[in-house]
Amino acid sequence: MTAVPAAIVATGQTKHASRRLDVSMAEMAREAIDRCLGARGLAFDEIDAVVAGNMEMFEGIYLVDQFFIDALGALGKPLFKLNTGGTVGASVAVACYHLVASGRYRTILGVGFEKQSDGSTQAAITTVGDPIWERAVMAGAIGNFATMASTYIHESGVTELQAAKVAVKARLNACRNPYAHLHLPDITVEQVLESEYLAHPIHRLDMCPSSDGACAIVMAAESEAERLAEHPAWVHAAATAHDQQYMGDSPKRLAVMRSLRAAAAKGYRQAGISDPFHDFDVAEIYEPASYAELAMCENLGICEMGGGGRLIDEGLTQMDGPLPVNPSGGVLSANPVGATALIRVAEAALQVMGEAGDHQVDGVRRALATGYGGNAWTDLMVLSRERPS
Amino acid sequence: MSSFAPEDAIRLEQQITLQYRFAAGHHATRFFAALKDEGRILATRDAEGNVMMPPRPVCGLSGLPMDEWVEVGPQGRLAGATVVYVPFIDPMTGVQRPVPYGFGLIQFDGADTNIYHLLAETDPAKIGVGKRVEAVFKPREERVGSLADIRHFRLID
Amino acid sequence: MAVNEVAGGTLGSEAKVAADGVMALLYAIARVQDGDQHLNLVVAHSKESQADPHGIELAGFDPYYERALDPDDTVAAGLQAGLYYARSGLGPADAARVVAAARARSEVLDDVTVEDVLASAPTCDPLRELDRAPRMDAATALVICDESTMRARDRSGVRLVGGAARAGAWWTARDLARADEARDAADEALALEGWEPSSLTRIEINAPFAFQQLLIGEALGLGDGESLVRRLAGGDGTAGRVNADGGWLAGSATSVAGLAACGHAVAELRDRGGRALIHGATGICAQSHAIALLEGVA
Repeated sequence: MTAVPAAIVATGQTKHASRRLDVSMAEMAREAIDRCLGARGLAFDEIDAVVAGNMEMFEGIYLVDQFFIDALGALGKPLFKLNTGGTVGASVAVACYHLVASGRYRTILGVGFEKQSDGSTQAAITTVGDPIWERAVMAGAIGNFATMASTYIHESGVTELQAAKVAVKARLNACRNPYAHLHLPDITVEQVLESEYLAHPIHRLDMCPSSDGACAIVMAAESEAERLAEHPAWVHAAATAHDQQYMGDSPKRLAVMRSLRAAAAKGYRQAGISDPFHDFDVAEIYEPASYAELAMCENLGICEMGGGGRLIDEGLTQMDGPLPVNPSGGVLSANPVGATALIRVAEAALQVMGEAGDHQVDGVRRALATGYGGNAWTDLMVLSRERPS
Repeated sequence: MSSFAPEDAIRLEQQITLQYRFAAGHHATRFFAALKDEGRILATRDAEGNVMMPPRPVCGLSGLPMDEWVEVGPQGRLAGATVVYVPFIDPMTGVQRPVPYGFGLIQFDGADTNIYHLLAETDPAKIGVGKRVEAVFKPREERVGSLADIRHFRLID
Repeated sequence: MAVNEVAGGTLGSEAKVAADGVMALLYAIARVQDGDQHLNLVVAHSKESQADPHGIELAGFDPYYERALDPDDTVAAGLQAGLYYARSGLGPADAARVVAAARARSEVLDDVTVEDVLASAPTCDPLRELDRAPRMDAATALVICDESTMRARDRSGVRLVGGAARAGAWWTARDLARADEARDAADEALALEGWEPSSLTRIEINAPFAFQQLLIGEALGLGDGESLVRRLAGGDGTAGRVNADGGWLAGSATSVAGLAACGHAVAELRDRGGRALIHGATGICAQSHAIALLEGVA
């Protein structure tokens, strides 16, 4: 059984914002979808199937995909709704890939969307905690990330200043991305370090925002892909790894992120990557907090374990560095959770397609995209200008 | 295209109330009975020696059944620690937990995994990975069979 | 998350599809067809005893236009049943025959008579309590693999031929007395394989209300009127028995029913050969439909 070559040929996003009061969730999703299809002049009847991702509890709508059939353009088509926590956007992209690679469908629309201002995000995140074992002592996403960061700092020696540099890099990159939620052109490391602690050692500006937003991609098979885009972003790897059940199970999670390592091993094997730092031209990594970007670079083999601080100090992941990480501004600049991981994939695709505008990195041939969510789950993709053989 | 100003947008207020009754299953039942009645912390072990807390039927790493019960703690070490400053609604009470409060990952002596729990320390300089801690239980009559039967963890020398 | 370890998914590839289990099966098939995976576990599980169905189903209704009326799936189904009975000429007694036949085939639920069904507590006219499958806790698991893996393990299997799916319009935006999307999905699946509908030896229809099974059965071309009722309730040995093990009405749960029906079909096809069509529905008034085709070579 061989895979049909598949590529991302179009993307669309909303302008992510803390509150999109002007649109309903359906209208918001449709905005991203219209931009995506409009970019290639695609009509809805050219789409064979739809894959959707969204955090159901966040907006309090059960079977949210059934509610948005019209907005998703899914009437009369197969509609796959995935729920995999914050990584769902990447799971959507992975599913789009497999449904095309299987030969069953030729052109698929993938959509991630979240209207966090409609609901109570923290209340919904509480339900991530197992009701019997974990919910009684939860402290929200921030308590979780801060605890993970403390383990990472202990293992790597990374400092608050180095984390602040990541926070600044992200927001300055975002200024060249019209869709990013946060545009903070005057941000400095001093500002980050002076912003109040949410939970030690995470400052307010070390943490991602909560956003309303949507993202859409079109995944197409071989000849369709070549017809639709001048430089399709061919999928060379789609790898998933989900960790054990409870939040404390992975002993050094983030510092030694098991699912990221497992997914990277699989994905790199699929794509023939042996030296990520040199083999990739750009990376879009799902970093919910500044520390996470450094820990993830280590676990992705972009630098040695413990080398995250060195990576940012030497500017290696800046826009003008050898491996720009998150030219879009990353999760730190926009986080509509159901869309966020799909935005990573879409931004990586834009880089490969040469359509990233002001935040385009020169000469991109191979891009990495990762999704993170749930209990430290990973969905990872490698996109390339070269069609897979 | 919106033809109205954002401040004129209608927002519908709704509250959803969902009632659940979670069946704890035999692992949790045994664990919480020991916690509530005896102030003991139990974990499960597989044939390879993996010790998992919370206890569970299968170890995901080995794929083996976790047939043996072992006691762990009540002492352990911090695997991660923080002090939380942003208020967060306690899901069990519906009331904001007063800030600041200590929060961390605790590895009980004898266990291979960690659990999240509250720490009885709010000075970040005093907490850190590797520090020794001990579970502080609520008095027997206040325990109900929940992780909150442990009030918090205190630092020990 | 809840089943990662017991399913053997730790650090493996795992995804969750939020719909009837047949949709998860269609995705799992794609993962094998493209060569990415050789052996997959497909699990569906639901513990309906833990939840408040009214509260959850209410959350599935339109927050702007519908929730203030406090509806749930049974209320919508009541409206759908009235429309279907008016169009088809069938009625509560026919649905009751389907329920009674399913219970007679059940291994977990007690038998009920047509009279029991018609005397059960009214829920939403014209529906009564026993018109719907009882809420249960259920789980089902299937192992699927590629052919070389099957041969290497010296096993015999049932061929997963393929399938199709169609999302339907919102319940207030379509003709509730019809299930055109079920028909279209089945037509597509059968046409892809070049199977004549008459070659099917087993048909499974999965929707929670007995009348919906009749409605969908009609859409799938199983007949109308009395002949339709006999296909679901008759058990008289006609070719293409519907819900031969009783289906959802014999004991299953939301998300599980379609995949469980696949399991029952596999058991039969492995021993006796044949061709099965498995249907699963998702959403208010069976809004969306998925179809899987299986073939056993005895």
